[in-house]
Amino acid sequence: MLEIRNLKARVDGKDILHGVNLTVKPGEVHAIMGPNGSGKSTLAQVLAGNETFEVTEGQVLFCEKDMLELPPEERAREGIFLAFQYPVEIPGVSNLYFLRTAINALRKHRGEEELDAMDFMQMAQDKMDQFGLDKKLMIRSLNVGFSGGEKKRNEAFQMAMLQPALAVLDETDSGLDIDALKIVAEGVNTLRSPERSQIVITHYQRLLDYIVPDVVHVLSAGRIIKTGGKELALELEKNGYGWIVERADSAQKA
Amino acid sequence: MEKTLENHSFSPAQLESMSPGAPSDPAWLKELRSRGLEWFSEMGFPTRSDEHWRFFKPGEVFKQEYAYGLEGSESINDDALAPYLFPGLDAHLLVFVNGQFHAGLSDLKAIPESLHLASLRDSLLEEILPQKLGTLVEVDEHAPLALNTYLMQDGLCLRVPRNMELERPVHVLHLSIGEQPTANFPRNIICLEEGARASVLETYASLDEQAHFSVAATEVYCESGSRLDHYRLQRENESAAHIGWAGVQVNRNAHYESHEVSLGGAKLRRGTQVQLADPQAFCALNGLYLARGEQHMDHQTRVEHQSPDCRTEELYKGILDGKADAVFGGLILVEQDAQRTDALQSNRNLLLSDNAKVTSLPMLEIYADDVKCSHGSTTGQLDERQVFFLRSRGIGESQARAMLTFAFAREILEKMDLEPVRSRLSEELRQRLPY
Repeated sequence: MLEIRNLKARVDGKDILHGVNLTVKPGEVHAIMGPNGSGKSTLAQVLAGNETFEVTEGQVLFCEKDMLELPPEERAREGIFLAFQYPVEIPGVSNLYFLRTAINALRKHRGEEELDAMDFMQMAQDKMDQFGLDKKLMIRSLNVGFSGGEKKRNEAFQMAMLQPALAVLDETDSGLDIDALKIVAEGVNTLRSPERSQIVITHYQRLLDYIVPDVVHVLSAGRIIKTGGKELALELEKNGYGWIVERADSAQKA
Repeated sequence: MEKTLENHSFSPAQLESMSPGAPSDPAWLKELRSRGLEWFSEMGFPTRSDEHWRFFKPGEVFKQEYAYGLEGSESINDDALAPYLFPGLDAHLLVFVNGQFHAGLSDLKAIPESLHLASLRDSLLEEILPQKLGTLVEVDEHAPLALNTYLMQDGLCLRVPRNMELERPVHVLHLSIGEQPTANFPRNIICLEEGARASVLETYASLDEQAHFSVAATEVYCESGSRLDHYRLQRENESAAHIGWAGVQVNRNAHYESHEVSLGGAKLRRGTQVQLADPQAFCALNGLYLARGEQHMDHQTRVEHQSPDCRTEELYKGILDGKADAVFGGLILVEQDAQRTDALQSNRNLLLSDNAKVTSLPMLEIYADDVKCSHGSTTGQLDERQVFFLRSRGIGESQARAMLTFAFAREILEKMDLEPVRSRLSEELRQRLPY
């Protein structure tokens, strides 16, 4: 489904990704963990097509299509979704109007009829309840006046509405209390299916108690230095990142 | 009927020969006109050495020749008006073509008794005209206003009696049309007596692409406890020149709200001058200007806090594209007696092009010591993080930019209580956005 080959990227003249390789098969959930500054968010932003980051080398194939050639909106239409670590606030654009516009852009791309306001509301109502988002909040400006937790639940709500083939969750757990974390995790798990994949980027093991990954990767200094099963996350929780990073460093020197 | 003068410029000799008005006009009006002429002759058109006109670039506007009092109404039907009306808005309508009242296109049915609503020329016997017309400002400070005072043709005369709440809004539509550029001098007066309430829309529009020139003036009196919602829409063509002015006096506990939207004009200069004359007077000045191509728009506001406990809320927003050149100048003047003034002034501009330009001059002048005043000005481009966020959800780049640009303007539109005006202008804005 997703194949990243030797991906290198930089921002403001500083190299961040030094050759990332990653293969995600349909139906799989991958966790990417790693210390601060290891390039996790950069990887997420590059996958979504943020032009602030310059890709200097490598390939990103999604369903065998070259994503690096495509602008962000076309990647989204192909089925890639990024839940932002820091969702932006947009005064003057209501949450629901924005989301309907996005859904209709995707539907149009798939050759489906656009949803009118009524159909859209029907579709949105259940999911708003599921993510504990009040309609009064959702007719207001996008993320404006939202608490940190509300912003993250809003990201998960958008994901549930857009039904992406590949969801990338960038530290969706940060700033969430345990109840909100469960709600978000449940939303992600509902989406789980043999055709859909997820990449969960997180600093902590905690989220992975609720979204159980098939594969865990450790990203450090712009490279994936270790890959394992879900037990790797537990090991990291217990022993920290230090031991793997050191081992990778000495392996590189040798 | 005023006579037609073609190919007329504003040289002193020609001004004399324009002899506006009718021989039968009342003496007070003739006197007012001659004062206007006298003032204008002394001052001439403003130049850039005049402080308040420093950034206004009139180009050749003052040197061109125009037709004055040109008849142009035969060819106009309701369809021609449609773009400037508001579907769903049940309003009293007064239409003026090249400064002259057009009864056929107007709709003055079902006017409540005791309300005075008519064209200015049909109101010359009303007491308020000699009492109030031309009294709001020192005309000698404002040359185009002096010229309007001399050459004024016709316009709205509205007097809402004590405690009357006017149910239907009043829409005044000033149109320019002609085989050649015309010069028109609309003059409106609005008086709300104690406790009265009304909504008035003033629209300026052109029905062709000629480089018409309008010099318009509106005087507003809000007596104690009254409330006026004043919509001032500039939708002339992009060759036209327009100098417009509104002078407003707000008395005790009265509420004046201006919604000024400027879309048209090659050279546009709009002035708003509000006097908060008694305690607890309030004014809200909301403005939105959209300029593109080589449009030049200069908006100036001046609010005088003359009494204690008055409040001002002012927000002007501009969206500039192409090589547009906009000016905002805002002064809030707090006089010595105006203690506990609460005033907020803000000007925000969005530049959609690298070649657009804004000069923003917000100013506070404070002579009282117990006041709460703030002002600010920002100018910037669309936030690329917001653009990316929308795109990452599948929304195309140009649509994302249009959504964000519209969102910027929306803050002003949402302050409008009249839904049909809000939605019609929203639609027009969406169409005008470059994306």
